[in-house]
Amino acid sequence: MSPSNQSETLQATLRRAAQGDDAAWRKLVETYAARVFGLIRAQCGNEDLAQEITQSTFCTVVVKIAQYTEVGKFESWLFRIAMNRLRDEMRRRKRQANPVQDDTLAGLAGAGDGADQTGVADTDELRALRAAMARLSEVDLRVIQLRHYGGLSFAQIAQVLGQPLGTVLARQHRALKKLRQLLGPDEAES
Amino acid sequence: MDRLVARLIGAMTASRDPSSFDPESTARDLSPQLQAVDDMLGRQARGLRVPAGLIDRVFQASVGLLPGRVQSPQIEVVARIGLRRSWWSRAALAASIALACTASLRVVHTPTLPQLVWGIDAQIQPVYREVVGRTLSDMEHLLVTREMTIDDLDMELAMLAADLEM
Repeated sequence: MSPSNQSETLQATLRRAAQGDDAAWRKLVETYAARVFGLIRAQCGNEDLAQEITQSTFCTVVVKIAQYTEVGKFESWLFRIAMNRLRDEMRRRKRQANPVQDDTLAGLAGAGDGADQTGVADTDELRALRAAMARLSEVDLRVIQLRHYGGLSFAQIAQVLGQPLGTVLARQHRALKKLRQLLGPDEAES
Repeated sequence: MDRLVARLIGAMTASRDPSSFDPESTARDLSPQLQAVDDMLGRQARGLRVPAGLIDRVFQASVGLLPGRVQSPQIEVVARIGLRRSWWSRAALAASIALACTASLRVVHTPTLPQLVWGIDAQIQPVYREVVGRTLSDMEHLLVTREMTIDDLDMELAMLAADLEM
């Protein structure tokens, strides 16, 4: 399906969901819930929290959907809501000094001890990759996560982060370069 | 980095129509070494397991909130009201008088438009200040304790500004 057809289909689905159509809403949940979960899971490293945030994100979206006008930014809007939900929850946990906090904050930074931090089956290659990702700056890491786990285009990432497109492209390049340095030539080309 | 910038400038200037610039293809134009890292990231992301039943749970939790689906609770008559008609008419008269008095008092004290605007503003401002103030104090703490870099702060501020616009 061409991008313009996809956009028209999404627009029609959103319109039907805004009119209270269950099937249209189900289609939106099926299309995006796994991606939202993947991004949040990668960012927080906590599966339960990621499920909670995913559910809360869609509850927020459904309440606002009648007022939403699709101008090609639905995905950016959705992922921004999800990231804001996670950020608020992390702040709340930090204030309350919740015992989960340390693990979760480590996950937010992408740190992994090899214990299946991102929910992906462990291999040496992925363990090394996670350790390298833990050393990226948060902004660079977010670009990588939005790209690979959220499945967003660079233009959409720029919208979600409120950054110019050129900055996002430069950050992705910088992040890949740093990962390659950290992984070493053997690991990166295996 | 210089190569990327040169490529970006080249791609933008070589095109007659600036809107035809495609960041996706430019970003995909990576050296083989960086492409290998990008592929690893893709493999890691594709390997992520989505918990069974997540889609259904999310759907069930949210479908009741669809526009037009929120139903008001039905009022059920659980018992027949057996009070005498005369008691009801007296109670209704008393309620009407009380309502009329309240309404007339409120009309006498109807605030002017500027007073109304000031009143609403006064209610919103503390909430706004609290939210923004909290976020900024978090950032200050993170900067002082060096848990946050200037880049992170820049992105947080950009996102905060975007949130306020939304």
